[in-house]
Amino acid sequence: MNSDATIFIVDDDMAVRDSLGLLLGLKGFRTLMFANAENLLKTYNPKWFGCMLVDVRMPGMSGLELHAELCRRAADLPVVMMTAYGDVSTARGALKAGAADFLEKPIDDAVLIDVLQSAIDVHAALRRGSPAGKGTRNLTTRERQVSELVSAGHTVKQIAAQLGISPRTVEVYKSRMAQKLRVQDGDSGSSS
Amino acid sequence: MRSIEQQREVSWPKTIVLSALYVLLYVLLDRVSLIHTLQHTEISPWGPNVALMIAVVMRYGARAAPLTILAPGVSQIVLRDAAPLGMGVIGAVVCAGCTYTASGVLLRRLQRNYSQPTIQWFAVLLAVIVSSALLNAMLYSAVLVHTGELSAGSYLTAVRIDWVGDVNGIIILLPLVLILSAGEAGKLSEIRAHIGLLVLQAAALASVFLITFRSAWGLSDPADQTPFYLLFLPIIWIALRWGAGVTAVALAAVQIGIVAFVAKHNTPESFLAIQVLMVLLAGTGWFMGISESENSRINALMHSKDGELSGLNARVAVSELTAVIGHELNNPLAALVNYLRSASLILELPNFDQASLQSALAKAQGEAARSVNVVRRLREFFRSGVVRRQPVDPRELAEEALSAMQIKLRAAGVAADLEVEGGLPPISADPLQLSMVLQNLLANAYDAVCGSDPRHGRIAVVLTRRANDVMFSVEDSGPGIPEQLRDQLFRPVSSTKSAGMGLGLAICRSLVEANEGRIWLVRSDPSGTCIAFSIPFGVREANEVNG
Repeated sequence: MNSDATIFIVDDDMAVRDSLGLLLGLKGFRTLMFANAENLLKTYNPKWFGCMLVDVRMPGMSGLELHAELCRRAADLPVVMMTAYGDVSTARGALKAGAADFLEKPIDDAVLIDVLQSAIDVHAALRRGSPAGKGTRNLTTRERQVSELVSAGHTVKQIAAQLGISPRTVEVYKSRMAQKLRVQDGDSGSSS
Repeated sequence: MRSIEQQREVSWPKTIVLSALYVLLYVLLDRVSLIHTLQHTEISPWGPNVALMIAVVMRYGARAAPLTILAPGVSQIVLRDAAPLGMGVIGAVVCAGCTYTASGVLLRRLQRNYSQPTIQWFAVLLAVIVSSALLNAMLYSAVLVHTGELSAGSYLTAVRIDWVGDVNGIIILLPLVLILSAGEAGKLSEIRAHIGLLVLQAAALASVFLITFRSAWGLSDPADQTPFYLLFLPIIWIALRWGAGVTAVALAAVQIGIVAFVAKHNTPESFLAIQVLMVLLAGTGWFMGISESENSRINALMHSKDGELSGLNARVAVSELTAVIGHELNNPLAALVNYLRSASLILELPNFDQASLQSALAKAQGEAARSVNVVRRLREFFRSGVVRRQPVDPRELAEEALSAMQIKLRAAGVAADLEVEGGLPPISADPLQLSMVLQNLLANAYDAVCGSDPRHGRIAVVLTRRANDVMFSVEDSGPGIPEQLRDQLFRPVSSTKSAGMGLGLAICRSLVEANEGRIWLVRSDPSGTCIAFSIPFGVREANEVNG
């Protein structure tokens, strides 16, 4: 599955970059690392397949600007944003501009792997010519799947089994959706 | 408690001397007030003695009442050979004595802090003075008609003259006595620095005074009051430049000049007219001077000296800091988490490589050290090096923090109260840090109140003395803190919704603890929130309590 997918990591913090490379490598991903957006653009190739993991705040070109530039070049590579200081408006802006997801550092590795995997799946489907990648704008693919199952009345455990992720990860998605949609989490009975 | 009782303990010899001095001064002022008296009475359009009486009551409270009530009677006996138990003496005691003593007690209750007069304070003062003077004039003139010293037809004239005289006497002298006795210390050095300007203004005032009353000395013309209005110019100039304190002196100087040089050249009617104009001049001068004083106080607060973080900056600094901490700290923490997670993944490998595990753990250790460094650096930045502990007056601290918020609160229509228990000892703390804590709590309270309904919002700061420390509580009538946030309120959690507030309180906690205090949530429910912190007394006070 991950055989030809690459994670393109762009972060100005050396330790963050290095540790992400190590972690994702151990998880079986191929990684390519860039210290800034300009370096990535220099070597960018439209044939690249996989997902980008980009820090929002960087000296020089920011993550959001990099994303905009890639959009201008009609790149189809999904972009996952990450930030050390998450504020709601930046996240909303990034998602509106079409980012695949928005993660706050420190990132839970289960969530990270799942987000990257589903982004790669979407990218793969896109390359095959299926429109699976287009969906609710504000929610990411995974979040949309989770929200559909929640509204269909499934419990967290059922959802986890169905999507092949851990129940804890489902909980994380649920709370992120609640934030984005500003929904009060009413059914706490299903969680524990 | 001991110290308070000591203060209240009366030293009799001192009291007797002071009382005798007061009566002497009162009789003396009563004597000089006898200018253009009406018929055979002592009613005149100038009553400086009354100002002295109210000032004494406001300064010493109700315990001065026996003295201030009886002094008018003594004055009657001395100056007018009145029979000790005659109508004149009783009338003076009942009317002037009781009325003005009562209004003094009332004013003392309404406002004690004369060192920083506000427009509101002056408006209340004016209302109390004008109404009590009218009451006294009506009562006393009635007594005089009864004793036959005054013809019944002159009753209204007497009321008018007595009213104007007393209002004039009080409005010019009372604020002078109060403000000067409270002392505007900051002004003195400023006056010394600009003594030239003050001399120029005094010269201008004197020459306008001469121009104004030149005709009054030579040929008096009571019908034409136009020249008097010239006096408004130098008084307004002085008021706008110096504020209330110097204006008080200028007004008193003009009044003394009028009494000493002008009064005798005028008819009773024109002197009365001048006295009415003086009330107008004083009112104008006071209002301008006091609003100027208020302005300069606000300015002084805004541009706090020595580059210290002033009230508004503190709030900005806190929100800046949340961003800085987020950015500086989350990166090393993120890397640390990644390395540790990698290490456990390496361990799960069937035949793992010892060297790569060691490398991951070493890098994790490095990131942990980096996080610690970030925290240390931020803390140093925030504390500007050291905790500079010194004796601090808790009330002053709270007043300063509240007044820094006053403009915002007033604009939103939020009521803010300060309740301070009497006899609070100084605490030992870094005043800058504590004022940041207070302002942060107040800003939170303000946000909470504005979130619901600011018009009915209420914020209260309460200072209470406890066994070893002073407790500061900040209450608001906001909607309360969400239940899930309460447990970790003072921890720097990456709380999602109101990250600013969570981190602000975490900073408050570290500041309070750096000053050897404690901070905690008293209560939070839909009717409001109360957060309190305590700071120990200064060293000497604490010893006294313990031993």
